[in-house]
Amino acid sequence: MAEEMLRMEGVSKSFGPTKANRDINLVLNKGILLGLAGENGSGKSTLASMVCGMQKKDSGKFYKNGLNYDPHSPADAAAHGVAMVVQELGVVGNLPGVVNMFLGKMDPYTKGPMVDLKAMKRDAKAVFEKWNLPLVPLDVPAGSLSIEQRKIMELARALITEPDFLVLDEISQALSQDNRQVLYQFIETFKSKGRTILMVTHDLEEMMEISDEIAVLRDGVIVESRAAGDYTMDELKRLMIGREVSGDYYRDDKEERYEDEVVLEVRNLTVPGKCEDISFDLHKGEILGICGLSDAGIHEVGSAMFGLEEGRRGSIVVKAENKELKKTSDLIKTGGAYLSKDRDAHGLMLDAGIGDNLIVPSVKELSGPAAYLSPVKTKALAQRASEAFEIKSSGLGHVVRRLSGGNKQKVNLSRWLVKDLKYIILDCPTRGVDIGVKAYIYSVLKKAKKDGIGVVMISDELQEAMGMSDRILVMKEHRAAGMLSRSSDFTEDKIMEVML
Amino acid sequence: MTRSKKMNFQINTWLPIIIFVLIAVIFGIGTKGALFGATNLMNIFNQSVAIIIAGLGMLFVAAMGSTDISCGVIVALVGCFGLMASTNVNDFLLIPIALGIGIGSGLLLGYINAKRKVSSFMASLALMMAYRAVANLVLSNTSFYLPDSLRFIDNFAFKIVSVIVMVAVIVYVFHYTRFGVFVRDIGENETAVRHVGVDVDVIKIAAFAVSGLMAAIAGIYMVARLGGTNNTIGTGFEMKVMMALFIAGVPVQGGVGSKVYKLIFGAPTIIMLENGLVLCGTSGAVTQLVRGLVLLAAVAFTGFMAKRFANVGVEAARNQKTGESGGTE
Amino acid sequence: MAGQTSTASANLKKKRLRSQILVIAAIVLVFIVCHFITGGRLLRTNNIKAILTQVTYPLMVGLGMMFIFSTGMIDLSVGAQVILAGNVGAIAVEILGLGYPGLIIGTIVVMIICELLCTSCSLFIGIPSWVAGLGCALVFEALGMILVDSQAEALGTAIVYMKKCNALGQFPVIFIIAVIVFIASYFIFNYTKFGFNLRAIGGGGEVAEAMGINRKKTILLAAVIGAVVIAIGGITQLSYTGRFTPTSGMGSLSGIFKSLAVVLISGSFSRIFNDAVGCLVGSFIVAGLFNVLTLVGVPSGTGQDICLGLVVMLCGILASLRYKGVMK
Repeated sequence: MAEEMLRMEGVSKSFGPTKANRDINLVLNKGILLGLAGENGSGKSTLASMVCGMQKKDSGKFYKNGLNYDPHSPADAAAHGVAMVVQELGVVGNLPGVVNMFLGKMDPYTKGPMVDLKAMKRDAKAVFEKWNLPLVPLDVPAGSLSIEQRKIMELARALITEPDFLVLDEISQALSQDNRQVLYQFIETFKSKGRTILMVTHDLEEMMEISDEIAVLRDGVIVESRAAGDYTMDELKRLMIGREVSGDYYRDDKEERYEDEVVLEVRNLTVPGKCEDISFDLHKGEILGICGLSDAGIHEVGSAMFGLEEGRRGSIVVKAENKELKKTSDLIKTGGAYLSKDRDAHGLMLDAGIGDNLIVPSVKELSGPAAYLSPVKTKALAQRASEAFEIKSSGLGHVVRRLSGGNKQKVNLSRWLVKDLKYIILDCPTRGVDIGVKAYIYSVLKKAKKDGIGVVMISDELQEAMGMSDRILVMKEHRAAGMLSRSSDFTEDKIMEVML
Repeated sequence: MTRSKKMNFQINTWLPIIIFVLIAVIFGIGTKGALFGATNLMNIFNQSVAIIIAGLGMLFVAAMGSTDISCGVIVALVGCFGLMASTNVNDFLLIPIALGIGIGSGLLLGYINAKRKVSSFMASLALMMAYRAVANLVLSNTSFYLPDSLRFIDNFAFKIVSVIVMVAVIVYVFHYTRFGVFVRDIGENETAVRHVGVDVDVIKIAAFAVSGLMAAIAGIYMVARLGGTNNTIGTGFEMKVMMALFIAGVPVQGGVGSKVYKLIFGAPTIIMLENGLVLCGTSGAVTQLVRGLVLLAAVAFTGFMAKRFANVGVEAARNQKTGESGGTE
Repeated sequence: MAGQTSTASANLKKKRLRSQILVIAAIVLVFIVCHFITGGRLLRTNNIKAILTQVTYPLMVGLGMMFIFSTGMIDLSVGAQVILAGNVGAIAVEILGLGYPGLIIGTIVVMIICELLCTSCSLFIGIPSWVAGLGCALVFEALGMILVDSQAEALGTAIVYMKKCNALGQFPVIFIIAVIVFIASYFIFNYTKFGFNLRAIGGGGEVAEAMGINRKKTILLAAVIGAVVIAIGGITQLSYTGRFTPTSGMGSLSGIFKSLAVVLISGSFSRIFNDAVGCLVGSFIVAGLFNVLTLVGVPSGTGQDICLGLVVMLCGILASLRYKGVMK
């Protein structure tokens, strides 16, 4: 009988009105890898970060090796043998790799006033060797390493403390095929020592392959937890989403349908090192998905089209006015809009009211003679947007920071859609919103399509892109790898084949 | 939760007035009423005028969360070159020269901050240093006097009317035009404003230009009040203007909490404070000591109020952010 | 992979070394050119001594500011602090007759207290550091004036002159002290746990905190170390000039402007030199520049201050040349 490593009992956590985790009960045995499956916003990362001590749980208990375990910080978690590779714990870019690996753990290397850098480097290398990880440059600033190298270094950093419990959050996404194999090899070795891994990944195939057990989270609750082999892929997806993938959630038609009129003509769009030679036409009433792995350059295509990337080459022409987009203001002037994937940092003014946020994109259109901005008009517009998009709040003065993720995204989206748009570029529009708002956003997109708005939807969720797009531009290593059509090519296999 | 939010909101709104009354009462009693003597009230008004005018400009910069500490030395430059021109060429040349200096300096500062990405504090500090040296160079062994034809500027009626006009104009620009909206929104989240296709750099440069312009206008009034210029004119002026804003609850980080009316109460508050201290017989050093402490206290207090105001939200949002960003990559 | 790795880092190092040699060669070249412009006066033995003396104060204050600024605290009250602390030291010597121990302990202790107060304003009360710096500068300037006014009367002078205990300000002692301070700062910044923690806090506060570094403790420690370094600079400068004149209305800022230029130069060289070495290079540039200005007859206080303002501005621009983010 397998021994127990970590037990969670009745763990709950809420952020304001949203309940991220509710009454989680889970047991992880020694020597296994448990995969946490769930859609965005299902609460799996929250659960993982509570185990790591990055966040405090509201109620419930953890037991590790039978003892009560209540970490108040990642350092405390490490002292209890729990280590992690998570996104919130990146590297400090201005310090060399070796210093990064030993941050907060330098006491054993302090000889008198000085730190023994040589010994630190020797021990760091030993960790790489011990676990058979590819060595990365350790004496240059960590900021100059590639994302892949940084991830490997973070993994090595986590292993310094010889943990018996490891939390891996979306680690494989940053890795190339070769290094994924290295990672899988490492996981096997780690497990063979009777140690346990909690893994979060979006790649379901990978999860099915390497997990011993899978727990499925949906809306903060564990809906299923059993051996990985007992799931079929369809079953897993159904459990995650809670209903069939088709239906009214995504589009129900099976064919691409858009007008012949081209709204936007993109030719040879290039940003050195970020995206290369991207060309496509966006038609009236079309939803064009852009898909690829996270570092394939899909997000950069969006920001480059908007005009944020420096050194951009190629042309983007708005066909109706035959105007070439040069600066960010050109896009807005020609009836376009761009939503960055980082809603809080790039989109919203968190400490201002909903009303203040809703009017920003329309301020130019609203101002009358002598640049007069009528409070009556701005209020009316904000009211209209807020009502049309059913933003739940106590009024237009409600501070945006206090809204749930979904309602924030509604504010972010509605402030553009109240305008008379011709096209819109959306970068991960359903990131971090709950399932209800997600469905709502899809319905809004369907309506926009019907109204003849051209939509570019950049998405890192294949399901979403397949469910909503007329065509999908698949990117691989910063280049366009193929353009697939709804009627013929929309199967996961086909897209993955182009993507990888 | 809704109720407490509303309460807080009202306290924030009324704060400038409460502090104004508080200071008035304290020093009214402390000086045994001397603070409210007719001459002294006139004195407070006269000093407040320059601070209000310069503050009207600095408000644009402060609303963006930036800062411009060159306004004191712009006053000195106005006194120096404006009066030099009006003494040597034509009396009225003071005004165009002053406005030119103000706008020019503002544009330069704006360019350095917006385009060259030097923090506005550092940049205006360096400008202040260089300008002060220029003023010293010119004024080291000469002084200039105000021509009689310009004495009308210091006339009470003219002053009050012109200040009201300026306040009205700035209220309009700051609260009822898109320039004002964008300036405050930049204070809230500059990147967000950039993402709606606004040329943030242009707005920033314009805001600094307004700040320089208003500082120069304040300079004209100060020169007129003094009847001439010397090489200490305008020293410490920038601190007074900044304090007039901060003591009345204009947030240091800028944003939608920046309001013109706060300045209108803040300026006389800070003058009363200094004037009251002088009437109480304190030395220059002690006055400066109090000034420093008040600046720290005012900023700490507005920060505290703002934090209380948004406390619940901050906590939740921080958690939510970590919760979300993990789940979506 | 391992082979690739070592060549990659070796290449980076080689490139860095090449840039370093290039910059130093350029500076030496400029010095030589200026030597001829000033009619052969710049590199005369006496003048070199003068430059080496003039380097010390901006260098030491710059190094101290480097420690404080690395935490993200932009504290410009150090100018007022050093005036206050220096006068306490001078009073300890002249009025209390405590000699060198009084001078050194008095200055350093007062400096540490001042810097901790200012840092606390920002760290615990949440005032943005530059505002805290301005407010504290006003306060410390005022305290300096009050102190000197009350004590100078006993001496019958307007300010406190330190006539004794000025051995620390003589060449070459002053320069040797600066070199020792530089070496100590260099090692603390680059080879100690505290130095790494400090740079981690400056480079990415949240990550550093999550890795178990105590942010507040590190920042306070940085303030203490920075204050000690600046205080040593203050002591030597006091011994050299014999006085620290109290200022009012932010006049103290001009006293640290050269050091500010040094820190900014170090920032603009951050890809080529390590921060501490950058300060050293920066202080030679600044001291050399002003020495040349004096030699060609630009008056101090006016013409030189204009140059100083322009230099700070230029260094600021250079330091943020690659910066793309939001700048308030």
